[in-house]
Amino acid sequence: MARMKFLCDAERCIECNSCVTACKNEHEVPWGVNRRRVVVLNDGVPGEKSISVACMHCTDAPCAAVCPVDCFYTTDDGIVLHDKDLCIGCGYCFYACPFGAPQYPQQKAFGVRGKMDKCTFCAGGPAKNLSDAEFEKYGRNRIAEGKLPLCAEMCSTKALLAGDGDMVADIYRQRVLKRGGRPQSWGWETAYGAQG
Amino acid sequence: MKQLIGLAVLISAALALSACYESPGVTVHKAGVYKGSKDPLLQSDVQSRAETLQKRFTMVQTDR
Repeated sequence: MARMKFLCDAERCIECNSCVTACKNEHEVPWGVNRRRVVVLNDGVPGEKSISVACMHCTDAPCAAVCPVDCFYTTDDGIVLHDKDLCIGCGYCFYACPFGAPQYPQQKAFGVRGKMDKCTFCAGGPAKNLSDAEFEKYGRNRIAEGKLPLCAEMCSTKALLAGDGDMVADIYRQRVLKRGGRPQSWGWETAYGAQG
Repeated sequence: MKQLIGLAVLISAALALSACYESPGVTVHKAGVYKGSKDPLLQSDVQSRAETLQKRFTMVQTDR
């Protein structure tokens, strides 16, 4: 069974933010909500690296584990989605998510949170496929159209990959082999240093 | 007359109290089980969807 995954190749990402723009445009995401964002590591230092981050559609999603109203579900291909009709905007998922994926539109005065919004892997949500209601709540359902997430499909340097986890891993492995080493942006040494 | 009123009071009290019972059926909340509406995407054939998406991936995202 294929599991859909994102992977951002930090050696290729040029921080153009096109993925962010494409996502916002495709799903008509409201102001103040970014389903995807580009994070720069060691900004301004020679050798800085950028990565594009959104919901990583975790296999054991912490957002789903902490949701008090159980509005999360995982599709057969591993995409983590949620029902906005059930969401109470409590913010637990935001605290639980290690990637800061859940976002909340400010709908009322005094900072009252609206329904949680996050990356859907362009798979819409629990509404009639390709309907206006689905688009309004969750954005476009490209998966139902046989397409993959737009952020990855339009990435000019192909830094951002989205698709079957095995195929994504194969491409990344080939790149690493071609570069003649292991990726220095990820892994133990980057996180804890050579002595760690 | 008093007996009739007493009987009526008794009957109404019995009826009123009979409504105050506790349901023996306990609603068990299973934590972690999705409670929202169904997603039509889940009804479609996973295998054919996976094949379509794999073709798409090969066409669009493989290295140039």
